[in-house]
Amino acid sequence: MFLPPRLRVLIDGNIIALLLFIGFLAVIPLSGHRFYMYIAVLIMIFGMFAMGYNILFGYAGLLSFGHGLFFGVGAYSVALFTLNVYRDPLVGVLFSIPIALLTSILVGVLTLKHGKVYFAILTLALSMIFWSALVKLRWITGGTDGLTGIPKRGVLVDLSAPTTFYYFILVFFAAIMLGLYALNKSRYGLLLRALGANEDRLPFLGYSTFTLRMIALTVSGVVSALAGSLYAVFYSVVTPDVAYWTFGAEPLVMSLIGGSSYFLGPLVGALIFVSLTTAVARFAEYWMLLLGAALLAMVLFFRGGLLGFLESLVGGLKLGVYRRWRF
Amino acid sequence: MEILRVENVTKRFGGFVAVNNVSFTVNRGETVAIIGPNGAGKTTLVNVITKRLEPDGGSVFFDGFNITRLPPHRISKLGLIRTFQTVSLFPTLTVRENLALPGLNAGTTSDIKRIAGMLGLEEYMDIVVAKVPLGVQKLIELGMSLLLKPKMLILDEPVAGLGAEDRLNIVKVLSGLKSSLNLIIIEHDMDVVFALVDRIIVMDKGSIIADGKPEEVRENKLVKEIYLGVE
Repeated sequence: MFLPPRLRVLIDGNIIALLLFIGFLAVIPLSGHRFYMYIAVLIMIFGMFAMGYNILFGYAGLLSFGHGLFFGVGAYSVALFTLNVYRDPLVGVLFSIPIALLTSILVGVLTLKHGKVYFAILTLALSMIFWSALVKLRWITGGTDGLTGIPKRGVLVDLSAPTTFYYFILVFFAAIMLGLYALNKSRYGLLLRALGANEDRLPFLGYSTFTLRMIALTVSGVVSALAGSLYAVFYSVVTPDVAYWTFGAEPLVMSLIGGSSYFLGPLVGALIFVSLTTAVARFAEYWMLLLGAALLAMVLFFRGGLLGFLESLVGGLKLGVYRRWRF
Repeated sequence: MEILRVENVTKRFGGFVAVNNVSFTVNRGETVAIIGPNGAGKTTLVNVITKRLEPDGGSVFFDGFNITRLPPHRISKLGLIRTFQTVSLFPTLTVRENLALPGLNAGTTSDIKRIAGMLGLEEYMDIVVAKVPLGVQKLIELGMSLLLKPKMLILDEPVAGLGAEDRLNIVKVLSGLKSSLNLIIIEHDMDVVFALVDRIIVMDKGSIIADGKPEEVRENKLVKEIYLGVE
């Protein structure tokens, strides 16, 4: 392929796969199947959540048990804003971005100066404090009932038609994915991967690990919150469950299933996770058993996740822009 | 004119005094070796100077700045760069990516090409660092340090664990750098030390026991007894 060197650096298997996937998503509404559109929307939302989570986990090497906090902040921001301030889903979703940014910085200030284990515990603690506040502050959050009636039809946009809403989600999904791809290819992407590979060395190259960790957490938090805000608009309802720590651990599971050291690993994980949870919904009582067994198998035998397994089968497939660390 | 001044630096680990009230200065253009038997406190001293460890007492001045309370990344930005006794790289990134990391702060793509060429790293550029031999890894670490455009470079055992050919290669590179860079070398290999440096500081049990030109240190009775094992 004859491409200028600069372009050749930017184009790899990931972007081709990503564009093909976005193209595939774009034609799903043409099938007319509402169920497929429903599944695709969930894959896009959880794909964003997992990809955002993996900036922190797969790149920067920080395990967070508190990403339900960011997802919840996004979901409740759009709910409170559209129900109390301005009745428009687009403005509500955009409003969640600065709120998520401030939340990420606050969480970062409280957690990032500590070691990795303490970071994991602190994020868990903060997430549970947030969840408790959502449950207890009934007059603001609706308590365990949550907030209902989040509008799809607003002053600026009308998303009440399923296809319109689908493409609304797709635009955000495509923008986030391409943004994360650009980050992956940028100097900050390289620095974040270096942070995960050997964070003790970076200060002696002139970099502040705190600043780099903060960048990772902020990007991760904002993307996760954006996924949360879209989730709230999708269901028109939000409950404290989205901030509970088990919900916040789902992107971790998705990253592990797909392969956390691969750029597209979390998205592949989200695709599998959402498809399986929907497919085996009728056997709900066995779902956790199945998930547990799948995770056990992944961690014991396929630590690179599904993409790692595929790469080991087809040597030199070069699925990963980075193959940073194994457990 | 001095570039580095270490004043009464002390570092303790519990009751053990690893560096005991050490003071010395390094002048611009000087190449200095710090030698001493294992456990003498050489690496601990470098760790304190570059703030990998907090000192328990004393001060460090570099290029006119008091760097005693600065974090390591600020010290690096001032131009005081170090390498590590055990090679410390980014093992899952390629050689090219490792060399690009300092460049993001200080260098350019052309600098990377020049340094890679000077150190003979071109053939390894697209290989993941974990898969290249130790001698090459030492050269990569040296290359990363040079790409930061240091005013002073502290090399902690640059030839340790290397074969004869790799040692010769690194000594050749360092000889070429002497004129343009302030070097401090911690090294056990006396052939390397005497081939490269203008001055030797000898440490034992956390203190400086000798400081002078190589020929003076070679003849120092205390050094012979303690370090070179000569009665």
